[in-house]
Amino acid sequence: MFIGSFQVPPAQLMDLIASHLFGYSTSYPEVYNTVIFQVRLPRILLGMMVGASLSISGAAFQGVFRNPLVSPYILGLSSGAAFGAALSLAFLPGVSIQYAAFFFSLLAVGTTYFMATSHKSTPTVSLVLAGVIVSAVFDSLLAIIQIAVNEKALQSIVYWIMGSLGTASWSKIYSAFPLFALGCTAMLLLRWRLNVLALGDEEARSVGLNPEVYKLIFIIAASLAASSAVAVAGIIGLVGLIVPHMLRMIFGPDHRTLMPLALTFGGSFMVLVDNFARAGMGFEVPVGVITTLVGAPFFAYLLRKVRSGGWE
Amino acid sequence: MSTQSAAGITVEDVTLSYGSSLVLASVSLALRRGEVITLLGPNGCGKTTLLKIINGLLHPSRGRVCINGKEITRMGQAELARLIGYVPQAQRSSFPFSVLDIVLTGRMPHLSVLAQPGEDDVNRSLRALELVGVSHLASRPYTQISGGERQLVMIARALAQEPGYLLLDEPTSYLDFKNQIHVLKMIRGIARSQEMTVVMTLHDPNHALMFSDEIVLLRKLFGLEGMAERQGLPRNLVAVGDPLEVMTPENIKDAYGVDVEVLEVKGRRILLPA
Repeated sequence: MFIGSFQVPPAQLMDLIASHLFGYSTSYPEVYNTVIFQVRLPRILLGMMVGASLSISGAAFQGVFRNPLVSPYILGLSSGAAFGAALSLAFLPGVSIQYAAFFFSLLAVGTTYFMATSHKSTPTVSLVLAGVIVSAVFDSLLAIIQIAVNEKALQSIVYWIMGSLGTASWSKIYSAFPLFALGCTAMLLLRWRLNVLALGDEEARSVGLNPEVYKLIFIIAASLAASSAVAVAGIIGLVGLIVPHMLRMIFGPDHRTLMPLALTFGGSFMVLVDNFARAGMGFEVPVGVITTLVGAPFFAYLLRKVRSGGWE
Repeated sequence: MSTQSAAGITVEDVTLSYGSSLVLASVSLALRRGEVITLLGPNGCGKTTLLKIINGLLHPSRGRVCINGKEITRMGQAELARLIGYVPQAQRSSFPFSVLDIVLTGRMPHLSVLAQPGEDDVNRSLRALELVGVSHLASRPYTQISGGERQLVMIARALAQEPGYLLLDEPTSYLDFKNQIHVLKMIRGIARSQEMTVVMTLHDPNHALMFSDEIVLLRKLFGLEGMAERQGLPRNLVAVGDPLEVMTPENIKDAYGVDVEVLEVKGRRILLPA
């Protein structure tokens, strides 16, 4: 919290926090209070939430798809969110960006799921292909909006898509938290069943677990958590891919340990990267740009290491 | 229907087709409790399909399957999984789960929705690994063990379910000569010691002769032209019963369309292609 263009020394920071906790008054200027409690603290908390939800939903999606190269965006969630945000920024000033992004991201995932389902079963390969189609459609719709709007709106759209925690506020935290908590709790409680699911549909069915039901449960829970994150922070790339994968390489693939680790480590990772994003250079860089720049080489390395891309 | 005993698997009038091709036509079977039963027949005769129907993985277009007198469609998935363990043919691997974690998933039908496996489940899983003789692999990643070891681990997983029936789909298909015999002996030993009924599909008629109490010999259904020649309804079952009675040159010819010679060596029967 003492990192940033406005210097607040660590000792004074501690004093300031203590004064809030214990209710005594300090002689620091009011601007200290504003910077710490209205700007930096919400930003850190939001960063934790976003990192945690992207990582844990990434881990869940990878388990469901039995593939380590899958991210929470595979079912079109990010494209839907970008379209929703752009729609709100360009044509619907009355509708909050956050809610528009949230609604369209879930709409995209839902469309993908129903497109991939036939005869009561939803093969993962169909899901991936349907995800590609749905993403492409929303990307095209986004392009139409981008062409139609004026320069200023275009700039906000582009900036939103890049993903940033710069607009963090308490109200964003309050509005995103319930669904984030709901999705994460469901995933944590059922996490051992991801082990069963990850062995394959037939293998799961033969020990009495209905793979279709649990696929759907995990997709809903992971999408709720990831959508609430994307809606407040834009499209932060590759966190949901690399964090679970790093953890899996270090601690093993057992979802009983992986899921809680993804939640906690994902949150810390995001805050750390965001520190660089806002203070590493003279100007603020959207954090999504940094995560992508860090993530892309890692992804390439993974792609070469995991033979045949990990598909069955 | 009056002969339907409580213990055992009964398959009644089961029919299934993939698209327009008929795979199983009105198959009825009664598999008694406490034996090693082998489903044998050429590729495409429907033996794997039949196994999957018994396990509820596939639904027949007609007919029904009862286990211990109860129809499987009336059971919940967990209830069925407590009765039947199933070891599929392909040994896939996605994430490098430890062998113990894989076997632990066999405890699934015994756990409530939000529960995770506890100490007791770990102990039962370790005992299952011991039964198949691969306790030393418990902490190894599943992706780094051999095909034969994976087969044994998947059998241990089914044993951890503690079912009364064990279904195995071609348990020897990816194994070398030594491991084939090892796995089959293991399966027979477990069937005896755990009082478990084993139903498996095999490719090798000689393996079936050596390791089964009962053989179900199947043939592939023919197209319409073939049916006219044979007259009457298509039939899957060539013969069912004691291995020595089922495995005659006439029956083998009927099932596989291959001529075989029967040799008796040291009191054992061996089939040789003529």
